[in-house]
Amino acid sequence: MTPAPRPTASPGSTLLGAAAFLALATTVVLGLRLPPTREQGPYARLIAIHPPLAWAAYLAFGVCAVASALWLWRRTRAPKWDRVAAASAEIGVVFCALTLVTGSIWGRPTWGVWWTWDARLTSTALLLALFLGYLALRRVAYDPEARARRSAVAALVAVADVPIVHFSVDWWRTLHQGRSLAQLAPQADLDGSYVSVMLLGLAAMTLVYAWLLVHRCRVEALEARLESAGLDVAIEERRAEAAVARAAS
Amino acid sequence: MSSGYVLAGYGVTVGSLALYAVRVLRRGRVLSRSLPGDVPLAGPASPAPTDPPATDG
Repeated sequence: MTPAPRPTASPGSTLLGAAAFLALATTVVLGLRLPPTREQGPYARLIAIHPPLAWAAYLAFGVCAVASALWLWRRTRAPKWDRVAAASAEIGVVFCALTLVTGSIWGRPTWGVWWTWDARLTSTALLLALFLGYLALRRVAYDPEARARRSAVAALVAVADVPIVHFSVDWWRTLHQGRSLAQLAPQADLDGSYVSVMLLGLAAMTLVYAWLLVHRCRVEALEARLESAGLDVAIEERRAEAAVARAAS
Repeated sequence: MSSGYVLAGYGVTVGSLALYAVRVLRRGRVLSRSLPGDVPLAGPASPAPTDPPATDG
Protein backbone atom coordinates (compact mmCIF):
# COMPACT_ATOMS: atom_id res chain seq x y z
CA MET A 1 0.00 0.00 0.00
CA THR A 2 1.35 3.44 -0.88
CA PRO A 3 1.84 5.59 2.23
CA ALA A 4 -0.18 8.79 2.39
CA PRO A 5 1.91 11.75 1.19
CA ARG A 6 2.78 14.32 3.85
CA PRO A 7 2.94 17.67 2.05
CA THR A 8 5.08 20.46 3.47
CA ALA A 9 2.06 22.71 4.06
CA SER A 10 0.42 23.36 7.44
CA PRO A 11 -2.51 25.64 8.38
CA GLY A 12 -0.02 28.34 9.42
CA SER A 13 1.98 28.16 6.19
CA THR A 14 -1.23 28.19 4.13
CA LEU A 15 -2.28 31.41 5.87
CA LEU A 16 1.19 32.87 5.32
CA GLY A 17 1.04 31.86 1.65
CA ALA A 18 -2.35 33.50 1.20
CA ALA A 19 -1.07 36.73 2.78
CA ALA A 20 2.05 36.65 0.57
CA PHE A 21 -0.01 36.07 -2.57
CA LEU A 22 -2.43 38.87 -1.71
CA ALA A 23 0.38 41.32 -0.90
CA LEU A 24 2.28 40.45 -4.09
CA ALA A 25 -0.83 40.71 -6.28
CA THR A 26 -1.70 44.10 -4.76
CA THR A 27 1.87 45.31 -5.29
CA VAL A 28 1.73 44.32 -8.96
CA VAL A 29 -1.66 45.98 -9.55
CA LEU A 30 -0.76 49.21 -7.73
CA GLY A 31 2.80 49.24 -9.08
CA LEU A 32 1.63 49.11 -12.69
CA ARG A 33 -0.78 51.98 -12.02
CA LEU A 34 1.82 54.37 -10.56
CA PRO A 35 1.97 57.74 -12.36
CA PRO A 36 4.96 58.23 -14.71
CA THR A 37 7.73 60.45 -13.33
CA ARG A 38 9.34 63.42 -15.08
CA GLU A 39 12.83 61.88 -15.04
CA GLN A 40 12.15 58.24 -15.86
CA GLY A 41 8.65 58.18 -17.30
CA PRO A 42 6.85 54.85 -16.83
CA TYR A 43 10.07 52.94 -15.99
CA ALA A 44 10.01 54.30 -12.42
CA ARG A 45 7.15 51.84 -11.81
CA LEU A 46 9.78 49.15 -11.40
CA ILE A 47 10.54 50.69 -7.98
CA ALA A 48 7.69 48.60 -6.56
CA ILE A 49 9.57 45.34 -7.19
CA HIS A 50 13.30 45.98 -7.77
CA PRO A 51 14.31 47.40 -4.33
CA PRO A 52 12.01 44.91 -2.51
CA LEU A 53 13.70 42.02 -4.37
CA ALA A 54 17.10 43.33 -3.26
CA TRP A 55 15.83 43.67 0.31
CA ALA A 56 14.57 40.05 0.28
CA ALA A 57 17.98 38.89 -0.98
CA TYR A 58 19.72 40.78 1.87
CA LEU A 59 17.26 39.24 4.34
CA ALA A 60 17.76 35.72 3.01
CA PHE A 61 21.55 35.95 3.06
CA GLY A 62 21.44 37.55 6.53
CA VAL A 63 19.29 34.70 7.88
CA CYS A 64 21.67 32.22 6.24
CA ALA A 65 24.63 33.87 8.02
CA VAL A 66 22.86 33.96 11.41
CA ALA A 67 21.84 30.30 11.11
CA SER A 68 25.41 29.41 10.09
CA ALA A 69 26.81 31.25 13.13
CA LEU A 70 24.33 29.41 15.37
CA TRP A 71 25.51 26.11 13.91
CA LEU A 72 29.18 27.00 14.42
CA TRP A 73 28.62 28.05 18.05
CA ARG A 74 28.82 24.86 20.13
CA ARG A 75 26.09 25.90 22.58
CA THR A 76 23.46 26.30 19.87
CA ARG A 77 24.74 23.72 17.38
CA ALA A 78 21.82 21.74 15.93
CA PRO A 79 21.14 20.24 12.47
CA LYS A 80 18.15 22.55 12.03
CA TRP A 81 20.43 25.59 11.75
CA ASP A 82 22.31 23.98 8.89
CA ARG A 83 19.00 23.27 7.16
CA VAL A 84 17.77 26.85 7.69
CA ALA A 85 21.06 28.20 6.27
CA ALA A 86 20.85 25.98 3.18
CA ALA A 87 17.19 26.81 2.55
CA SER A 88 17.66 30.55 3.03
CA ALA A 89 20.75 30.68 0.79
CA GLU A 90 18.89 29.03 -2.09
CA ILE A 91 15.95 31.43 -1.78
CA GLY A 92 18.41 34.33 -1.53
CA VAL A 93 20.02 33.26 -4.80
CA VAL A 94 16.61 33.40 -6.51
CA PHE A 95 15.93 36.90 -5.15
CA CYS A 96 19.44 38.11 -5.96
CA ALA A 97 19.22 36.84 -9.55
CA LEU A 98 15.83 38.54 -9.95
CA THR A 99 17.32 41.76 -8.55
CA LEU A 100 19.97 41.70 -11.27
CA VAL A 101 17.46 40.84 -14.01
CA THR A 102 14.94 43.54 -13.06
CA GLY A 103 17.78 46.04 -12.62
CA SER A 104 19.01 45.21 -16.09
CA ILE A 105 15.49 45.62 -17.51
CA TRP A 106 15.26 49.00 -15.74
CA GLY A 107 18.75 50.03 -16.87
CA ARG A 108 18.23 49.42 -20.59
CA PRO A 109 15.69 52.25 -21.20
CA THR A 110 17.06 54.65 -18.55
CA TRP A 111 20.85 54.22 -18.92
CA GLY A 112 20.84 52.85 -22.48
CA VAL A 113 22.66 49.62 -21.54
CA TRP A 114 21.64 46.23 -20.18
CA TRP A 115 24.78 45.98 -18.06
CA THR A 116 27.67 48.15 -16.93
CA TRP A 117 30.54 47.41 -14.54
CA ASP A 118 29.17 49.83 -11.99
CA ALA A 119 30.09 49.30 -8.30
CA ARG A 120 26.52 48.42 -7.27
CA LEU A 121 25.96 46.01 -10.16
CA THR A 122 29.38 44.39 -9.87
CA SER A 123 29.15 43.85 -6.10
CA THR A 124 25.64 42.39 -6.53
CA ALA A 125 26.89 40.01 -9.24
CA LEU A 126 29.73 39.02 -6.91
CA LEU A 127 27.20 38.37 -4.12
CA LEU A 128 25.25 36.07 -6.44
CA ALA A 129 28.45 34.25 -7.45
CA LEU A 130 29.51 33.83 -3.81
CA PHE A 131 26.22 32.22 -2.80
CA LEU A 132 26.13 30.06 -5.92
CA GLY A 133 29.54 28.88 -4.76
CA TYR A 134 28.06 28.26 -1.30
CA LEU A 135 25.33 26.06 -2.82
CA ALA A 136 27.94 24.19 -4.90
CA LEU A 137 30.06 23.64 -1.78
CA ARG A 138 27.10 22.04 -0.03
CA ARG A 139 27.06 19.35 -2.71
CA VAL A 140 30.74 18.46 -2.34
CA ALA A 141 31.18 17.02 1.17
CA TYR A 142 29.40 13.74 1.87
CA ASP A 143 29.78 13.78 5.65
CA PRO A 144 26.93 16.00 7.00
CA GLU A 145 29.11 17.40 9.81
CA ALA A 146 31.94 18.44 7.47
CA ARG A 147 29.45 19.83 4.97
CA ALA A 148 27.72 21.94 7.62
CA ARG A 149 31.01 23.28 9.01
CA ARG A 150 32.51 24.22 5.64
CA SER A 151 29.34 25.81 4.35
CA ALA A 152 28.78 27.75 7.59
CA VAL A 153 32.23 29.31 7.28
CA ALA A 154 31.61 30.03 3.57
CA ALA A 155 28.28 31.73 4.37
CA LEU A 156 29.94 34.03 6.93
CA VAL A 157 32.58 35.00 4.36
CA ALA A 158 30.02 35.53 1.57
CA VAL A 159 27.64 37.64 3.65
CA ALA A 160 30.39 40.24 4.13
CA ASP A 161 29.54 41.41 0.60
CA VAL A 162 26.01 42.47 1.64
CA PRO A 163 27.05 45.79 3.30
CA ILE A 164 29.42 46.42 0.38
CA VAL A 165 26.49 46.08 -2.04
CA HIS A 166 24.25 48.27 0.09
CA PHE A 167 26.70 51.11 0.66
CA SER A 168 28.46 50.89 -2.72
CA VAL A 169 26.42 53.83 -4.02
CA ASP A 170 27.76 55.98 -1.16
CA TRP A 171 31.34 54.73 -1.21
CA TRP A 172 31.94 54.95 -4.96
CA ARG A 173 30.73 57.21 -7.74
CA THR A 174 28.23 55.00 -9.54
CA LEU A 175 25.76 55.16 -12.37
CA HIS A 176 23.19 53.56 -10.10
CA GLN A 177 20.90 55.93 -8.25
CA GLY A 178 21.23 56.37 -4.47
CA ARG A 179 19.89 53.86 -1.97
CA SER A 180 16.18 53.32 -2.66
CA LEU A 181 15.49 52.56 0.99
CA ALA A 182 16.70 56.11 1.83
CA GLN A 183 13.75 57.37 -0.23
CA LEU A 184 11.47 56.17 2.58
CA ALA A 185 12.78 58.94 4.88
CA PRO A 186 10.28 61.79 5.48
CA GLN A 187 12.59 64.45 3.95
CA ALA A 188 13.03 62.47 0.70
CA ASP A 189 11.47 63.94 -2.43
CA LEU A 190 9.80 60.73 -3.61
CA ASP A 191 6.07 60.99 -4.29
CA GLY A 192 3.83 59.55 -1.56
CA SER A 193 2.22 56.97 -3.83
CA TYR A 194 5.65 55.62 -4.76
CA VAL A 195 6.65 55.35 -1.09
CA SER A 196 3.42 53.49 -0.23
CA VAL A 197 3.76 50.99 -3.07
CA MET A 198 7.45 50.42 -2.36
CA LEU A 199 6.60 49.76 1.32
CA LEU A 200 3.90 47.33 0.20
CA GLY A 201 6.41 45.67 -2.11
CA LEU A 202 8.88 45.30 0.79
CA ALA A 203 6.17 43.66 2.91
CA ALA A 204 5.12 41.41 0.01
CA MET A 205 8.65 40.17 -0.71
CA THR A 206 9.24 39.59 3.02
CA LEU A 207 6.08 37.46 3.20
CA VAL A 208 7.01 35.56 0.02
CA TYR A 209 10.48 34.91 1.47
CA ALA A 210 9.01 33.70 4.80
CA TRP A 211 6.58 31.36 3.04
CA LEU A 212 9.29 29.95 0.78
CA LEU A 213 11.60 29.50 3.77
CA VAL A 214 9.02 27.49 5.72
CA HIS A 215 8.46 25.11 2.81
CA ARG A 216 12.10 24.90 1.80
CA CYS A 217 13.15 24.09 5.40
CA ARG A 218 10.59 21.28 5.50
CA VAL A 219 11.98 19.95 2.21
CA GLU A 220 15.47 20.01 3.77
CA ALA A 221 14.12 18.08 6.78
CA LEU A 222 12.52 15.50 4.48
CA GLU A 223 15.78 15.10 2.55
CA ALA A 224 17.65 14.54 5.83
CA ARG A 225 15.07 11.91 6.86
CA LEU A 226 15.33 10.19 3.51
CA GLU A 227 19.13 10.16 3.74
CA SER A 228 18.90 8.70 7.24
CA ALA A 229 16.26 6.14 6.20
CA GLY A 230 18.44 5.07 3.24
CA LEU A 231 21.37 4.60 5.59
CA ASP A 232 19.22 2.51 7.97
CA VAL A 233 18.11 0.26 5.09
CA ALA A 234 21.72 -0.18 3.93
CA ILE A 235 22.84 -1.15 7.47
CA GLU A 236 19.98 -3.65 7.79
CA GLU A 237 20.90 -5.20 4.44
CA ARG A 238 24.55 -5.60 5.47
CA ARG A 239 23.48 -7.18 8.79
CA ALA A 240 21.19 -9.60 6.98
CA GLU A 241 24.03 -10.54 4.61
CA ALA A 242 26.37 -11.09 7.58
CA ALA A 243 23.78 -13.26 9.36
CA VAL A 244 23.33 -15.40 6.22
CA ALA A 245 27.11 -15.77 5.86
CA ARG A 246 27.45 -16.79 9.51
CA ALA A 247 24.64 -19.33 9.19
CA ALA A 248 26.22 -20.84 6.08
CA SER A 249 29.68 -21.21 7.69
CA MET B 1 -0.14 52.30 -20.37
CA SER B 2 2.95 50.54 -19.04
CA SER B 3 5.91 50.03 -21.34
CA GLY B 4 7.16 46.64 -22.41
CA TYR B 5 10.18 46.96 -20.11
CA VAL B 6 7.97 47.50 -17.07
CA LEU B 7 5.70 44.59 -17.97
CA ALA B 8 8.76 42.41 -18.59
CA GLY B 9 10.16 43.30 -15.16
CA TYR B 10 6.94 42.44 -13.37
CA GLY B 11 6.36 39.34 -15.50
CA VAL B 12 9.83 37.91 -14.94
CA THR B 13 9.55 38.50 -11.18
CA VAL B 14 6.10 37.00 -10.67
CA GLY B 15 6.72 34.15 -13.14
CA SER B 16 10.07 33.16 -11.64
CA LEU B 17 8.80 33.26 -8.06
CA ALA B 18 5.76 31.17 -9.04
CA LEU B 19 7.93 28.60 -10.84
CA TYR B 20 10.31 28.36 -7.90
CA ALA B 21 7.42 27.96 -5.42
CA VAL B 22 5.90 25.16 -7.53
CA ARG B 23 9.30 23.45 -7.71
CA VAL B 24 9.71 23.57 -3.91
CA LEU B 25 6.17 22.27 -3.29
CA ARG B 26 6.60 19.49 -5.84
CA ARG B 27 9.93 18.45 -4.33
CA GLY B 28 8.29 18.25 -0.90
CA ARG B 29 5.49 16.11 -2.28
CA VAL B 30 7.88 13.73 -4.03
CA LEU B 31 10.06 13.38 -0.93
CA SER B 32 7.12 12.79 1.39
CA ARG B 33 5.96 9.95 -0.89
CA SER B 34 9.43 8.40 -0.84
CA LEU B 35 9.63 8.19 2.96
CA PRO B 36 8.21 5.33 5.01
CA GLY B 37 4.73 6.22 6.25
CA ASP B 38 5.53 5.99 9.96
CA VAL B 39 8.17 8.74 9.97
CA PRO B 40 6.58 12.02 11.11
CA LEU B 41 7.66 15.23 9.37
CA ALA B 42 8.37 17.21 12.53
CA GLY B 43 9.18 14.32 14.90
CA PRO B 44 12.55 13.10 16.16
CA ALA B 45 14.99 11.43 13.82
CA SER B 46 14.67 7.68 13.38
CA PRO B 47 16.45 5.77 16.19
CA ALA B 48 19.71 3.97 15.57
CA PRO B 49 19.19 0.31 14.64
CA THR B 50 19.75 -2.13 17.46
CA ASP B 51 22.03 -5.15 17.12
CA PRO B 52 20.28 -8.29 15.87
CA PRO B 53 20.04 -11.20 18.33
CA ALA B 54 23.07 -13.48 18.30
CA THR B 55 22.60 -16.63 16.22
CA ASP B 56 24.11 -20.00 16.98
CA GLY B 57 26.38 -21.62 14.47
